[in-house]
Amino acid sequence: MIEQEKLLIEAAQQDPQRFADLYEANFERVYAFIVRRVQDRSLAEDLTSEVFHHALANLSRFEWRGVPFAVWLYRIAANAIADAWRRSSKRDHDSASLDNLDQSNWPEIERRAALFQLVNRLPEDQRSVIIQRFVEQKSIRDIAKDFGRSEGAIKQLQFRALENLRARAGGRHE
Amino acid sequence: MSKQTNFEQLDQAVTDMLANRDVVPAEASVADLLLIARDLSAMPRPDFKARLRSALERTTSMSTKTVQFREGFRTVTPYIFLPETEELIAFVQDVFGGVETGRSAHESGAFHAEVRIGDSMLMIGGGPSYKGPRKPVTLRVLVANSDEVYQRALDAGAISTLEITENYGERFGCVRDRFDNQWIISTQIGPAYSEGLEHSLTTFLKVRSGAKLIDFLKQAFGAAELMRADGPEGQVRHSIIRLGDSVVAISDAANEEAVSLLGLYLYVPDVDAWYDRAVRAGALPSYPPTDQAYGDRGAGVTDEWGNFWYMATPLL
Repeated sequence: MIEQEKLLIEAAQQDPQRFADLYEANFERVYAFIVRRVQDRSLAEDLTSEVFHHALANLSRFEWRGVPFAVWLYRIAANAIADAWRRSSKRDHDSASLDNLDQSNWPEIERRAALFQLVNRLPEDQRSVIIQRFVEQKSIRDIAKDFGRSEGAIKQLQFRALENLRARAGGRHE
Repeated sequence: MSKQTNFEQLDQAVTDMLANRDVVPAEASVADLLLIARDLSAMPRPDFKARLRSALERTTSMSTKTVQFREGFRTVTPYIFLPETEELIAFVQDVFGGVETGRSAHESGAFHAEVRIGDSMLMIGGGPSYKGPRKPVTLRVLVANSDEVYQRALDAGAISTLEITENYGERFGCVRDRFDNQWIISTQIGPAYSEGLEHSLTTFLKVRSGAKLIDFLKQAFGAAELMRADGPEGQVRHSIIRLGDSVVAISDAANEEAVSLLGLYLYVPDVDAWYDRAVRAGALPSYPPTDQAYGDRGAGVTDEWGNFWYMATPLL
């Protein structure tokens, strides 16, 4: 797995258009890392964009030392978060930066990243309910209107979608 | 009162959680699912991943895509705006042997001309109706015999600002035309002090905080430093910066009067990507990428120094 990642990095260093492979492999974990800290979707998306643009621009400087590529991205993300907090004077950015890189948080980040990916593999009606309910934060009534179905049917779809995600994620969600 | 079904219990807990993320579910039976729901409430918008991928792909295409520009053009073309367009064209023809390759006049009075000097292009725009700011340029013109051309410039009404001298492997003199453009008239007599100076025209930018402008160009246009000499207090005394297949020279202006604001026309492989990147780097959008009737897709930004950057990609 690590060896495969090394090949992807080397390919992207030789041909920047191959960066797409690294992006696809790491998008959800970088976003999960950031949103866990900033608790704001729009800011998390902006910072995720910043991280990948920075990574792409500086890929030639990346030196392979056997550490997962995601760790390099987490470092860039931690700095981006600290900079964002510095700009907004929200909190002590240095302690925040160190806190962000606490490895004990990484399993949770991996779990969330996997969850975000699993949503795309749900049956279309379940996926659509999840997006409308949790991303667009629509009411059950509005979603029912959109689907042309009863509110009870939408609640059941929501329930089945969450059960499905729990089953596909495997193990207890904590 | 009938007992709530599990999907109704869950929805109630979800509704409470969306109103307050810290809420603890009353029903243990739905606690697991609610934790998943809580994570989902922070997931990215479904189209965000694809949009970001497209933006990154556009960025990579900036460095890898090759596009055939219009004949004679390279990435950077200086663009001079002034009311006395005909007089400047005549000066360039008389002194540098410039050849007018095209012109267009809009019924509004707006005027645009293109003049070839040696292997490079110069754009001249404005016309008698032009009321905007003058943007005189400083241009280095590489010629076969700088003494002769320097004299021709003086004969054509330019004022000498530096008599012919030899330095940096060049024999050169400087003049200012009556429209305030500065011309460095140079002949190569030894090894060039930097790569990229072999073309007939090189644009010089004299600004406040040259180092900051160089950083901006790196971020906005992927520029690279080919040569840079800083002064003792960090001011940029001279630098040669690569932009695409061209170079520009950047230095800190000695004083406020020496600052030159200018327009530059950039032919780029992908105008949308270059525009996005320039705006992300802090440039002020002047107009977004738009297909133009004359065959280019063009966009414009203004940097914080007031320089205007046109960007264009030929439409296929």
